[in-house]
Amino acid sequence: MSGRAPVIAARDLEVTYPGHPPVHAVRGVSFELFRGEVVGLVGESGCGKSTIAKVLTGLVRPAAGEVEYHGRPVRPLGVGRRPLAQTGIQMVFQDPGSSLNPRRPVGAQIQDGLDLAAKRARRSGRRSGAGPVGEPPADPANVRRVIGQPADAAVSPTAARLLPAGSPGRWLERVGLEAADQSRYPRSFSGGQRQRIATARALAAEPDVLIGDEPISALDASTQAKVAYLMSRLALSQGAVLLFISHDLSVVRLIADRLLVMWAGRIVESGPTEAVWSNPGHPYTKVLLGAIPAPDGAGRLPLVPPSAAAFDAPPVIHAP
Amino acid sequence: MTRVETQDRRQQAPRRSLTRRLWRAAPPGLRQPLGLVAALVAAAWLVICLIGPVIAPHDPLAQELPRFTPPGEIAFLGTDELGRDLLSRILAGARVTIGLSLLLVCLSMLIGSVLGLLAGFFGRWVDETIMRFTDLVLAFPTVILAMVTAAALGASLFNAVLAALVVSWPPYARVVRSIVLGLRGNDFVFSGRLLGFSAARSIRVDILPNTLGPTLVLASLDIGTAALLLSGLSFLGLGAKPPTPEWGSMVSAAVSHFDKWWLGVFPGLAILTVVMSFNFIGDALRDALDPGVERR
Ligand SMILES: Nc1ncnc2c1ncn2[C@@H]1O[C@H](COP(=O)(O)OP(=O)(O)O)[C@@H](O)[C@H]1O
Ligand SMILES: [Mg+2]
Repeated sequence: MSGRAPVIAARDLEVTYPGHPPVHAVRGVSFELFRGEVVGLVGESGCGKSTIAKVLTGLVRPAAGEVEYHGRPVRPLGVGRRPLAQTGIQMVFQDPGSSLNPRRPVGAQIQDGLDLAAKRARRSGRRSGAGPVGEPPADPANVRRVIGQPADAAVSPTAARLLPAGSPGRWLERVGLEAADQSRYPRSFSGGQRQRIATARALAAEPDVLIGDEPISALDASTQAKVAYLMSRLALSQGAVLLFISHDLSVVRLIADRLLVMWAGRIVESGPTEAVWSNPGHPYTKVLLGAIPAPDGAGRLPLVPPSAAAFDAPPVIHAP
Repeated sequence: MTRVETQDRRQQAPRRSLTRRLWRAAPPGLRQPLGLVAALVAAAWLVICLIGPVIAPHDPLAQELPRFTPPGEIAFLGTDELGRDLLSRILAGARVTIGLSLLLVCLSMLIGSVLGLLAGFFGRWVDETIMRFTDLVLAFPTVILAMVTAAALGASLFNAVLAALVVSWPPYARVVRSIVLGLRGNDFVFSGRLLGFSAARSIRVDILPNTLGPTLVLASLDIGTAALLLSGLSFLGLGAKPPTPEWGSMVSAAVSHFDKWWLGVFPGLAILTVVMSFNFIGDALRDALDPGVERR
């Protein structure tokens, strides 16, 4: 990865939430994300994953350190409008129940993303919709990661020709829904469908950084892999980097090129997915991997967790 | 998988008669005898607001009948000290009292919502300033503050509405603010901000539409109270001036003719039924929309 400039980078982030006592949620986190990669951020609930996502988007102000997006610091969001230059960082949230406005048809919400892309394009003198958004790449490496998924099940080719690329209906089709669904309200969709819609809205904005904050955790097991695959496929086809957050390694492993393992506000292990998966170095990662049921359904018993002191071992970094 | 699901949902639009669907849509509180009566009474008063002067047997201001006629053949509800037909005056008064109550409630909702939205959305000193002011107004006894304001402004119906407005917006500001505080942390509001919404657009698109439901419930609960406050001010001589057919001032005039019972009883009943029926509807709506309240 060296030699390339990262799209977005976290530099020594520290986050403290006020309270009695204050919560030191993130304790010195640094990482870099590069164009075209899918990175999984995993760790148990409460370890600070969402906080990192919110700092990256500017929703939370770090106590120390900063986020660099294309080499420029990300300005924490105040009451004013988000700087246009930073709107290339988009996010899909965890709770399908609140990730969409219940009082607006989903088409209008996707249109917000399209409007933003158009506005950014006008500002930079480029035409929107002509960008990298298109059909998914026939990259065998991506297909390999998805067990038994047809590469492009969701997109119907006839409809793709009829609808303009930059329309809410077309985006709904890209995420496996129908163009006619755009006039429906969020409550008439299932959780998985809402997360697809939220993904469509975020990607319609043509981001080059997409953050999924546990976008599949609230979905049932059969939908999880599908939505995760869809997100990574669409993000990659758009040339965006995807930071996929989860407390569950089993699905992340299928889509991520690289893993960041987090524990208690720190990154304790990082490296290519295969390396971390097959050769976990940090005691915490070993426990995390041990807790995953085997795909054959036989089940794998979690290791007896060592005392927390053991987790304080120095971070393990696998060479790329 | 998704395609099948969406089609299933489209097919479930059962055909029912309009009355049946209205009945199903009505809050449970109105689907019992007392609730039904309240709804019918309120509806009847609203109709009278619209067509009252048309169905009135006499001109409410004309002094053309014998004075102090008890209820009977000449005048269904009797006549007053100037020989005006009481029924006609009560029918005409509906428009004054209910109309102004609706106006008052709408204005309170407007002012309270704007202040509550600003306080809740912007927080910090905006919130501090607005809420301290709201608390200040709430610290005074409502009726007394309204009376003092009305007296200071001078007796007129318009001033009575203004005085009532001074005391009736704070609950809206409070409710809207607390709803906004809850909404502000919602993921879809964050998403909007991430998509570059300005504060104004975020409020208009993501926040305001989600505060309307609870605010309308509060408003419907408030119509009865507003009617009581306005007729109370008129009763005290701080609102409607003499020839205007206003229920509060009619009761007030009746006080000096205590033996002519119909002069006070009928306008009083009008006030009572309006206040009770609208309060009942408001309660039923609140129970239906607030899952925290036990349903009986
Ligand atoms: N707004 C907040 N105020 C106070 N504490 C918070 C807030 N958000 C998160 N926390 C705390 O910070 C820690 C990390 O939270 P979070 O980033 O949401 O973890 P994760 O997403 O990994 O579950 C937790 O202990 C949580 O309780
Ligand atoms: Mg989280």
